[in-house]
Amino acid sequence: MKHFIVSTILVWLLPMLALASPQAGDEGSATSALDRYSPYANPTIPSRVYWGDTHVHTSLSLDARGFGLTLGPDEAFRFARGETVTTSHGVKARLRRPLDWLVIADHSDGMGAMNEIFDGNPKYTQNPLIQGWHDRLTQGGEIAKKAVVEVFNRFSGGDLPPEFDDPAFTKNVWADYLRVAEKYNEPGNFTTLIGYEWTSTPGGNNLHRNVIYRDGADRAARMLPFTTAESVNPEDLWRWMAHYEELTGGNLIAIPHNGNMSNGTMFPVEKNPASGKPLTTGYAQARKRWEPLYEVTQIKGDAEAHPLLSPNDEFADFETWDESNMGPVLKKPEMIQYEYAREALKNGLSLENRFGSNPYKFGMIGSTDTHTGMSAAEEENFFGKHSLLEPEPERWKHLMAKLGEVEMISWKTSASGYTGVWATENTREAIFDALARKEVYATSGSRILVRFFGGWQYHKGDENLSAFAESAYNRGVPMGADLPKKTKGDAAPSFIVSAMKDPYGANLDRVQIIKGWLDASGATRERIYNVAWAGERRLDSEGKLPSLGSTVNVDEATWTDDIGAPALATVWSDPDFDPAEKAFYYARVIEIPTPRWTAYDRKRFAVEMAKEVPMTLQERAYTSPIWYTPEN
Amino acid sequence: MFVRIFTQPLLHFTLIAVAVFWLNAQFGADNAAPTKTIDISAAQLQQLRGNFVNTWRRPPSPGELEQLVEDFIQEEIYYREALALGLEQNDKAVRLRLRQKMQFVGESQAAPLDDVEEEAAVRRFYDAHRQNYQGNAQFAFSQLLIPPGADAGAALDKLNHQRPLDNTELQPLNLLPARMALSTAEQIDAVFGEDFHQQLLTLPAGQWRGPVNSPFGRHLVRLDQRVEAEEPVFANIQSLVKKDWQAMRRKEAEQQFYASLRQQYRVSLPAVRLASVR
Repeated sequence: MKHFIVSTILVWLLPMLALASPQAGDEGSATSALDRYSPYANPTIPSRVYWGDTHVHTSLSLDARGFGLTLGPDEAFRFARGETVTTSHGVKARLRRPLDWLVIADHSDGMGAMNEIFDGNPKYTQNPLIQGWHDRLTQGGEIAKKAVVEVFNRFSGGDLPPEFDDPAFTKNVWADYLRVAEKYNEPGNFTTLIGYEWTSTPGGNNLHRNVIYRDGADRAARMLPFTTAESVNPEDLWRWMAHYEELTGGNLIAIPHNGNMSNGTMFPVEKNPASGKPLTTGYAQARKRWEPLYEVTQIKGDAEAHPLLSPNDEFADFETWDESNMGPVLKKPEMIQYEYAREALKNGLSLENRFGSNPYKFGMIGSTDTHTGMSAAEEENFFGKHSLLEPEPERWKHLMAKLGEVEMISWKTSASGYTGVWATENTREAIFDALARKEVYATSGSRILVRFFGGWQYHKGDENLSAFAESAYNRGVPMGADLPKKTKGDAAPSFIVSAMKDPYGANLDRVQIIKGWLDASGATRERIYNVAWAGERRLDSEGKLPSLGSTVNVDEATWTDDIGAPALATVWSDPDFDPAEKAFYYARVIEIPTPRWTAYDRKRFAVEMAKEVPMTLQERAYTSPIWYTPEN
Repeated sequence: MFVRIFTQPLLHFTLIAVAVFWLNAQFGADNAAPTKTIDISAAQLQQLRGNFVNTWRRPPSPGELEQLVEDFIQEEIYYREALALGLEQNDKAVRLRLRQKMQFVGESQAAPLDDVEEEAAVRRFYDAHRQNYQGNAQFAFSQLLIPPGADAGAALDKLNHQRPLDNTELQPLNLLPARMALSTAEQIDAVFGEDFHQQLLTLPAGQWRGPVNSPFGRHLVRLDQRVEAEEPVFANIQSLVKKDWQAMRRKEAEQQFYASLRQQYRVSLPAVRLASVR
């Protein structure tokens, strides 16, 4: 009996002991299986696009407030996330669809000060110069406009009255803005990214940069924004950024814009415009490190390509601004090659050979740079560049600005643009990280969807895949990245490009892949390939495609989707690939023609406009490039 | 002869005239000469200082305070002199401002309620306006875009028998999310186009249906989850409901206030009505 009991106990006990002792493998795999149990909590690849604008001004900006804007950061965030706001002129405004994220980037020079000038704050109006501005501003009309321009010129020249240089005041304004940014930041629903614009305009040459923070208010509050009173040299801005990161442990990027208004100083190739001395390795390294993106399209024109630089590109002359800098200096043709994105991307390849770093290895984004507080880039819903150009019958012929001899007329302003971000989720960190790694693209205002991948292992049959993203990430790289290293067996790189229309916009006309490279003689070259298109069309001997025509009814400001296609996609391999030559590739997606904002104004206000005012346009998207570097 | 003076009409008229002017001086409207003394109290000084601190977050310097006081004095002087000159009459801005102030007076006429009555009234208000406080319905669904010309029926059949579609039956290189987590109508339409969500309303959960149209083409859709607009927990929205109720009460009080005033007035209009004037 005793034997029976003992053995029974042992029979039951021993297995228990075995089960109780942890197996090395089991516990580990059980935990890791739990870590990733929910497929939706830990997204590893971006599965959707988040739409936003990196460049909105509110009444905190000196010039915006001067032009009559009364909307502040609250209203700007509310408009972007889809609410109705009332404009400075009492008009109700609302986006057709909300944006997913927004950066309010007010000018750091005199941020918040114009509100005080208008209010006649005695602290400032003690200075007779400022009192004079107040008197003229409050008079309205032409006198006020001239006063705004004067204030703008003073601060853009870095020549502010000392009263604006008060750290205590700036600290309050900055803290208020940060508070509002935190208030509207709703991870998963709507992201606010903190930012400001450093407004360097030496001699009227636009070298503006938007500084964007990955961080929240806690870190951002620790340093006041860099101003042009401190320096107009971008290298000093990069030093300030390095100092911020060191001090706070935070992360920043800077995004320049309007090379088309820089009179040849945005993308220098020989001399550093700030010093007059030759470019250095330090410059190339710093620029590459701090400026991973370029704002290629916005209200003040589209700067992807210029007809002088790309005479074979029938789409190069799009919303082109090439007459001057910000004023008062007119443009000379030899300046243009240092102002446009495609040329800069090409020159960057050559500079990389010289310095070891490519200072122009940037991705492309679109923003508005609106001074109305409203990120409104839809053609049928365009509220203008600033508050003196908000909708009314004559706004098409008002001057946007007049500086010296240089006049910028309102009808030339463009209802553009937005940034599409491929991110894993809608949070500050995910959006910022996507911007920093360049998995982003620019549009001229339409929310076209585009994916662009490059690799050596995409092959025939891939174009039939439906759900392809995960496989594409596994076998290659997305937009903004470098091609994986070429191995001996690889012949030529191939690219998956897929584009789908904006569901509220027009059909697509075509998809192109634009290649830039450095040839054997060290010269930069470019070529445009039409890779996917709507309708039964054939490439001619030069690889060009005839136009689809237009369905636009200008008088009614309508179009139909009888032409074009809702989606275009293909897998394309470079037929002219030379493994010895550095290159980049990016995709450009073009819509069928649609009415331009001027056509909507013409219809709604029943006004006739001058002959030279365009009534139609073809909206487009530019992806960030993918780079190829030969093995040395 | 002395007596005859008293019977002269000229004297009578002179006396009447004097009487009229005297009466006017005593009881005549408004145009009294303004008093020339301004007494600024400590409380007013505090208020000036307080306004400054609120705006600038620091106390005013002695020079600034002096400037504020001078400015206040000027405002007071101009105010009195303006009234003496009757400048407030026929001024649209003044009329609007006074009208607004009377509106506030009217709004504040609402009879005060004790806590118990108030809570009951807020509840009743909420019951009457429930639909204003509903959340949004949410949908989670899976979708597949099929190419033009594809056989939707055959594809649905496959899917509903747990067989996946192969690449030839699907739109190539599709960018739309295959699965949408719980999203509101607005969020869904932002991705798929205007009113796309309407087509989900009649779908049964768990079954592939379609084709459902969008600007992108035809979709096969499976509704995975539907969460009805949530009845909010009253405690969470109580303060919002109370604010709305208070706004309604103020409006009603003002309307009653005006109605009682209106009754006291007799209004005459020209014989020819404006409507018939061309």
